[in-house]
Amino acid sequence: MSARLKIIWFLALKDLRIESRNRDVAVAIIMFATLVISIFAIAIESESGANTELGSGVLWASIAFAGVVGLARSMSHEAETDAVWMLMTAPVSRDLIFLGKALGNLIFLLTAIVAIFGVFGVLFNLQVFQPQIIVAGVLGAVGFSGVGTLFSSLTLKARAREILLPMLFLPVVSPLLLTNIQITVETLSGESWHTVSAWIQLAVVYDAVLVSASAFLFGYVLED
Amino acid sequence: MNCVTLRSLGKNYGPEQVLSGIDLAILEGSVAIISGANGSGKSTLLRIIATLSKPSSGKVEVFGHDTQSHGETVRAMTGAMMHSPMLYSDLTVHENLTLFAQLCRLNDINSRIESVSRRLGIIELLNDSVRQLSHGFQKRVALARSIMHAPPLLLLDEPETGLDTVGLDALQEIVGEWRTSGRSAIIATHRPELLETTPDMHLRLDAGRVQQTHPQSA
Repeated sequence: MSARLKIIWFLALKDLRIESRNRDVAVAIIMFATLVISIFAIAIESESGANTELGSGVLWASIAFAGVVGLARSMSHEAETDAVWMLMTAPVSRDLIFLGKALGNLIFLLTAIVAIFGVFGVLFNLQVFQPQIIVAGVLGAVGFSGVGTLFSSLTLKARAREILLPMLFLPVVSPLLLTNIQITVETLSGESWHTVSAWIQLAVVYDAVLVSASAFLFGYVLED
Repeated sequence: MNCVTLRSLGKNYGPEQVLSGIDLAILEGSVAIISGANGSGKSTLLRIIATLSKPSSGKVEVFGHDTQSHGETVRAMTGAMMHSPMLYSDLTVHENLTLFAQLCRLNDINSRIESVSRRLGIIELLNDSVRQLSHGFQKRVALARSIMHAPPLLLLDEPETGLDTVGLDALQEIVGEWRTSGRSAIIATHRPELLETTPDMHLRLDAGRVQQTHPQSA
């Protein structure tokens, strides 16, 4: 493993270690999303023909909202006793710190998405464990963790960060959110890989642009 | 050679000017004390040298390296202990020190941790969570972290705060060792007498401007 990859892994491992003791990031995401999905599952008639479209929207909206909660929680460990400055005073580039933090958040989000898919599948009686939707889940987690890591750092010292983070995060990830909803709707409607692949390509481009931009801006955000 | 060179350094937070027009050169191998009232800009100055903060104007060089364009090189040459401990509360002391050593790409991590921990009297606490430690012990861990990679320049922001006599003795010994080994230290403090060392340079800040330097000057 190269030295840079090792640094990224050490940083992600630090977050996994903290999470293994507190279990407050993945659990927060899963609990929040489960609550939202449950409320909508009760509200939406299961026999309704619109179940696929509405359900896809509910699935991704709940993942996005729950992601905000988890990302804010994840970054709060960095704010306590200014721990993030330990990383900032180490002789590593800021983009490696970003990638390490984003990798940790990505692992939490992927874990949570697997659980949320399971809950959603049971409550909405829809088969979401399909390859296209799994790919959408991975791409969604990559985009959310990249953008979320940047914005949760940006709001680290803000007074109203609980409000500021979703206000910044959700508009920026909304194209990815809509793309993932479309992939889910089309897959659940029995469309072919070929039809869905255009949306998947769009999500890949979005992730590449957003993660690169977030890595570039991260250093500017943390240094005051 | 200068360990730190400041050229027309200025820093503002919005309309508030925290540092203004600071020109200064601190020689390698010297111990410099920065004193001044609360809000005079001591911590901001140290944060800029440690690359935690960007100057609004002017230039900062550490051992000839620009802090803006060669941040990684500068950080490899500095050990910083700021006012807050900068530790992960949910990790143990050993895990915190190991993480920093890994980021510094150090070899023999365990022996280095044992050596600095013994020196600062925290060897018994290595497996304790940082959250369980008193503020004084957290400061000792922070000091251990800042010297672990033996940097040629130490940046200490009010290091005496919260330290008991054992911690203060260790701090004095470390500052003394840094001087005798030809390395440098810049210490922001309200109580220079506690360090029991005659500084090579005493810099007094007042409202973001240098009011007095003694005996070296820029």
